Order: sequence, then C-alpha cells, then structure tokens
Amino acid sequence: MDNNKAKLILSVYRANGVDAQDPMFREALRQAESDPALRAWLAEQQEFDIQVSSAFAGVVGPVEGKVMIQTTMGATRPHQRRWLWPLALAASIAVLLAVWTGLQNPGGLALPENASLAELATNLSDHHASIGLMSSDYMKLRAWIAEKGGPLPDRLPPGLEKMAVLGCQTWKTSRGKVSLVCFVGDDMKIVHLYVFDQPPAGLNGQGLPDLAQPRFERSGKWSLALWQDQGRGYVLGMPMESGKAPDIERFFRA
Amino acid sequence: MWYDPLYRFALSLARNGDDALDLTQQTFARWAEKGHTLRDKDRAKSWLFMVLYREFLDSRRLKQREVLGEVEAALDRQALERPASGSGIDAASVIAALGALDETFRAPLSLFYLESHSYKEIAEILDIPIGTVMSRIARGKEQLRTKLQITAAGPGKVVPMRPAKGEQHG
Repeated sequence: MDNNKAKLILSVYRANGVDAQDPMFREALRQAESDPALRAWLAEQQEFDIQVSSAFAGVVGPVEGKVMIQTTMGATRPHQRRWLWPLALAASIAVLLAVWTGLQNPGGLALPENASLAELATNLSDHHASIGLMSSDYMKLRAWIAEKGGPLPDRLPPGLEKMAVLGCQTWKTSRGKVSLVCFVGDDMKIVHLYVFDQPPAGLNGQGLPDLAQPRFERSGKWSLALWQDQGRGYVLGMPMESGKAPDIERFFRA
Repeated sequence: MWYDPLYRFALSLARNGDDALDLTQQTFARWAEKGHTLRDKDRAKSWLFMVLYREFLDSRRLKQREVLGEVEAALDRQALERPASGSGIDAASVIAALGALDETFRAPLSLFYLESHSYKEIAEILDIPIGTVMSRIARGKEQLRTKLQITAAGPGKVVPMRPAKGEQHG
C-alpha cells in the first residue's frame, strides 16, 4: 500500500475506538506506525478530528424539547407487545379483514355509525391515538393538515390561543374527515382538539352550542367540551387523572 | 439517551434550531408509535438516526427552502455545554461550517463526528454503500477544514490551525 492510499483510508479513521475493530484500517495503521511522515500526518488529522468532534459534542438540544418528548412519549407510548406466532397469525388475518373491510367501505377509518360526537372523539383518542406530525409551530401544523386535506380549526377558545402546540393528526373516516391538534400547557398537561369536517347535525351533535358557550361532558376517562363553529363540530378533550376531572372550562375564559 | 446526539445530527441537517427540534421530536414520536416493532433492540440507535434522516428528507421535499441565515439565531438560543477549546474551533463554528457544506457531505460527516456509529451503521442510516460513505467523509473533511479556517480567520484575524500539510491524497 503506498502512502497516498494509506492517507485516503486513514483520513476516515476515528481515534476514539469506534473503528478499532474494523479490519479495513489495520494495514494502513501498521504502515503509519512504521513511517514517521505518515505517522505525523495521521496525528495532525486526528488532532483536527478531536477538535471538531469535541466541539460538536458541545451542542445540546433545548431542555424544553427533552421535557416535551418525555411528556408526549408517556402519552403516546403503546403497550408492549409480544410477537408470538399465534398473535402474528391473528394479526395477519386482521389485516386481511381490514383490507377487505376497506374495500367494502372506502370511507376510510371505520367509526361507529350511531356514536355521538363525543364518542367519536374519545374513540379516536382511545383506539387510534397517533401523531402524524410533531411540531411546536402552529402554522406548520396547519399547513400539514391542509396538505392532507383535513379540516382546519378556525376560531380557538381563548385559553388554547395562549398554549404551545405539540403535534397533529388527520384521518379520513367513515364519519367524514377529522383533524386533531394537541396543545400543551405550562403544567405539561396535554389537551386534544378534534375538528370534524361535517355539520354537527350529521354527527349526532345536533343542537351543539356556539364557541362562546360550549357544552361540557364526561365520556369514559375524558373531560370534554363540545361546540360548533362555521358548520364544523369541535371537541376539546382532557384525560382525567386519578379520577379527578380537569378544569376544562378554564380554556373558555377570556 | 439519544436526544442530544439526534438533535446535533438534526441541527447539522436542518441548519436551524426550530426545525432541528421538530425533527428530533418527530423521530421520538415515530419511536413511540413503531419502536416496539423493532425486533433487534441493538439496532434502536441506527433506527432512530435513520428515521430522523428520512424525516429530514421528507420535510425538505415539502419545504424546499433555504435557511442558512437562521443558523446564528439558532445557536444563540441553545445551550453550548462546553466552552470553546483553545484551538478556536467551537460548537458554533462547527455547526456553521457543517451547515455550509454541500448537502452530500453534511449527513455523513455529522454522523462521523458524532463518533457513535460504525461505517456499516452510517451506510445503513443514509442508505448508501460504505465506500460512498467513506469517500464523502474524506472529501467532506477537506471542505470542512477550509470552512473552519475561513470561519476562524474572520476579517483580519490569524488562522489558529496549522496549515493542512500533506492533505492531498495523490
């Protein structure tokens, strides 16, 4: 191996040990040991690499980002599953059934036909929870929802306008298109806002009040606020903690 | 555990702190959603970096915008854990220099300087052959040296690094 080839190889050798077991570098390293000029060149290369990598290691992510991730991971982490053969087989059958059902029902995600607006929202939260895009930029979330053809929230309750956003999702369902925007408060509690792209009357939500005077309900583990605005149904939901209902009404106080 | 290295990689790709944080969060969201399907848990690290890189490519396709000028603002907002070394190369200048590299070199070189991935893993993350990874890193390092020398020199300043002796590979 001539020195030029050895330099080419050694220029990508890292001295911290991550490449130590890689046989590709052995011959070039042996050559550097026996050739003073090559050894000096390698030492200079490694000095530069150490300076860059230690400076790069000085970049740390914002603390609030880490907290946010820990909060949302806790909220969205699925149950651990064991991938056993019978379950895998059952899952395959379920997929086939879902595909068949999908062919029979091209309306998208199948939601209960007679469920109320509140039940639809909690069904999505309890059984189809996912975040399509995580971002703290509300405009970016809106652009993503719009690109997917999902309904965009129009006017927000005053309390939500002051909160940070976390992420969003949108679904095409058998009951129309639905979007979700997740908000997070200073207390790191997450609030889900569902927007239904259908008049509430078509979603068993007839008689829903306006944004100024929403209706408050409880459904399962959820505390909810429901209203209609501009021909769309809205559901704001917060999970109860230790059986205690959160103060969801505060989001509607100016 | 991988939050900071992922953020570092994201920042070098996205070149602004907000997008880097979004990419990092999005990566963990994917982990929460799909991580349990990963059978070989030893591959979790590569999986996370691979997802982040794919998310970056997807978001770039959507936006197609240049944000070079935002690098400085991003660095103002973030904490720099270690002080600048006596060499004149500090975190801000490394991020700025990485951000100014051709995109072909940016991702492999960032993963190279994270120093936690083998070449096999880098190749897997970027979905390119190992030989290509190595040649991009070698060429990227030359560009990075030049950028850092320029950055460190600034107007009327002395270059703190030694001239790159014997840098040519023939």
